[in-house]
Amino acid sequence: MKEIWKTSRRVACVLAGLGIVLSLAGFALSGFDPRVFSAKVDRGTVSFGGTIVENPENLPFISTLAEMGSVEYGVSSDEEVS
Amino acid sequence: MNKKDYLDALAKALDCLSREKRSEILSFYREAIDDRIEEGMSEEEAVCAMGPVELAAESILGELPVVPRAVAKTRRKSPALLWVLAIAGSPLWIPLAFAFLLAVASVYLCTWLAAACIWLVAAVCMFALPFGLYLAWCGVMTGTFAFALAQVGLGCVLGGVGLLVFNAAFSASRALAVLSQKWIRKAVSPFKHYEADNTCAVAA
Repeated sequence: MKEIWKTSRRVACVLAGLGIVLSLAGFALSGFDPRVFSAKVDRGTVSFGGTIVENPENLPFISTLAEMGSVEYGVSSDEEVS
Repeated sequence: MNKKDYLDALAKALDCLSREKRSEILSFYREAIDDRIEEGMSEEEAVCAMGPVELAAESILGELPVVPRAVAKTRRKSPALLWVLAIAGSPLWIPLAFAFLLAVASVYLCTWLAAACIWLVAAVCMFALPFGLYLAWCGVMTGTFAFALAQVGLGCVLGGVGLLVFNAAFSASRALAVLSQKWIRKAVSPFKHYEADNTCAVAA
């Protein structure tokens, strides 16, 4: 049992470390724009990381949300780029 | 006084107890007298060594938990008195008993609510990993690769945190199980004695 907990803690630390590296890579790739961590669905308009998505109908769950109303996740984006 | 007379007198002095409890105590005293006889004492000497019946009865009643002891001593003085006190005192002891039960149940519930909150946090954090991967897939499909990378990263971080919180939730649940068991035993202690049985095994 102790071995299982030890292994799970190691996996958690590796996952968290990998996640931090990937997040920083995405942040750098976006030009250090904090909006890269946000997603917004607002009455038919979908934007990922501040960029408005064309044809969101191809995205299974997001398109349903777009029809329903407004959902915002992450850093609030004042400007959006299409 | 011989063994039979002693045990009969003790049984009469312990009339205020339940039949099972009384028979358990009499069996213990019977064995104690028989052990002394086996060691070489005569029956009268063995009975004398047990001490006076009244003293033995007082000592036995003194070992009972608080509430059964009060009930037994009142019943010993007068069974009618016990009924009068129970009925006349009901406006006092019924609300007190209810408040006591409520307090015990509230603490027990709060203990397990704390555990549930930790599990909820663990579940939400671990759900973030597949959700982050889904958002990353959406980002790849729509050409927003920086977004996809960031969402994978966020999902991994929260998934890792979720795994750690899951470990903590498991340990916390075990500790809270022991705590809630101790709480229940404490709450019941005025009414019933518990032997030290599984507490150590559960804590291990």
